[in-house]
Amino acid sequence: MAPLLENVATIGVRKALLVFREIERMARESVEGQAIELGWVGGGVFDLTDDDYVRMAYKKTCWYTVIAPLRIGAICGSLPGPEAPIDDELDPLIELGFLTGIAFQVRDDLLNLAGEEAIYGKEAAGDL
Amino acid sequence: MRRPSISATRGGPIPVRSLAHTGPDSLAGRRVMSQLGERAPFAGTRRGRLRHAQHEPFENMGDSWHPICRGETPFVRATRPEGGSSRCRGGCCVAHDGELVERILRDARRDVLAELDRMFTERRRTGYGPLYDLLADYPFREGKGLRPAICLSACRASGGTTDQACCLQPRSSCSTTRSSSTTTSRTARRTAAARQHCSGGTVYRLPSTSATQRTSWPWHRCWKT
Repeated sequence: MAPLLENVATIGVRKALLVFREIERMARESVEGQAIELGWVGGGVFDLTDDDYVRMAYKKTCWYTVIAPLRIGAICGSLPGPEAPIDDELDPLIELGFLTGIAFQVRDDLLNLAGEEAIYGKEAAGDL
Repeated sequence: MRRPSISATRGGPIPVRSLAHTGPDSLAGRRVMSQLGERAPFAGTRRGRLRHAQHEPFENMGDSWHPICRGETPFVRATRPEGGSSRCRGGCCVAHDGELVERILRDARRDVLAELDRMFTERRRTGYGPLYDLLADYPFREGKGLRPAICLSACRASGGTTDQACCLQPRSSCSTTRSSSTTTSRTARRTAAARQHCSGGTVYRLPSTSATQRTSWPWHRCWKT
C-alpha cells in the first residue's frame, strides 16, 4: 500500500480510493479461489466439471493476474477529477480479463503437465 | 459504434466449457476465432475492411500459419515472423509482435523492480532489515513481469502516463508537486492535468455501456459483488 499512498500526489485521492477498492476485490476473489481449490484437495473432490474449473480459475487467477491490473491501470490513466471511470465503464474489463486469464491458466496448467521444465521455468507437475 | 461483446456477436454465446479446448483444429477454436475476427479492432472502418480482406478462411491457412498460430511453439517468440512483419506470414488474424511484447514486459519489470528496490532499501534502513529481506524474496524472483506490464499498458491505453500507475520520480519531486500546487488555482491545476493527460498517449474511451449487460454470460452475476 505504501507506493500507492505515496502516489496520491500524482493520481489524487479519488483514484487512490478506487485502486484501494480494486485491491480489496482482487484479494478477496483470489483467496476465495484458492480456498475452493484447497477444499477440493482437502475433501478429495474429483467429480468436477469444466464450469467448476472455470469458476475456480476466474477467482484465483483471473482477478489477480489480469482483471485487477487492467482495471487499476485504467483507473490510474483515466481523466483526472470527476471524469474518473465509473463502474459501467470498468465492467467490460472484467470480461476481457476473464477470457484472457482463463486462457493463461489453461496454458499454464497444460505446460505444468506436459511442458519441459527448463522451458517452463517451474517445477514440472508441481500443481499435482 | 459500440463494439459487441464476445457473447453478443452473431452465433450466440460461446459455451464456457469450449474455452478450455480452443486449439486451432477444434470446432470450438474455429468458432472463437471467427467471432474474434468479427469484432476485430477498427471493424467497420476502411482499415478494418482492409484487414478483413486479408483475413483468409481458417480452413485454407494450411502450412502458411506461423508456428505460434499452429500451436507448435509453446512460447511467444522474441523475434518477428519471417519477413519482418508483425503479422503472421500467412496473413492470419493474430497480429503478433514478439519484439514489442518483450520490450513492454522488460520495461515494466524494470520500472516496478526499481520502485520496489527503492522502497525496500528505505525500509531496511529505517526498520528491521531481516524482515524486509524475507518480504523481498518473492517479488525479486525471476518472472516475466506480466502483471505490471498489463497495468502500465492499460494506464497508457486510457490516455495516462506511466508515472500515474507507477511513481517513477524521486520522492522529493513527488512531494514538491503538492507544495507547488498551492500557488495555482484548483481550476488551473485541473486544466493543466487534463492537458498533460491527453498529451501522454492516445486517449481510449471505455464503452459507456457495460457489455456485460447485453450478454448471457453466466459469470456476470458475480461481477458486481
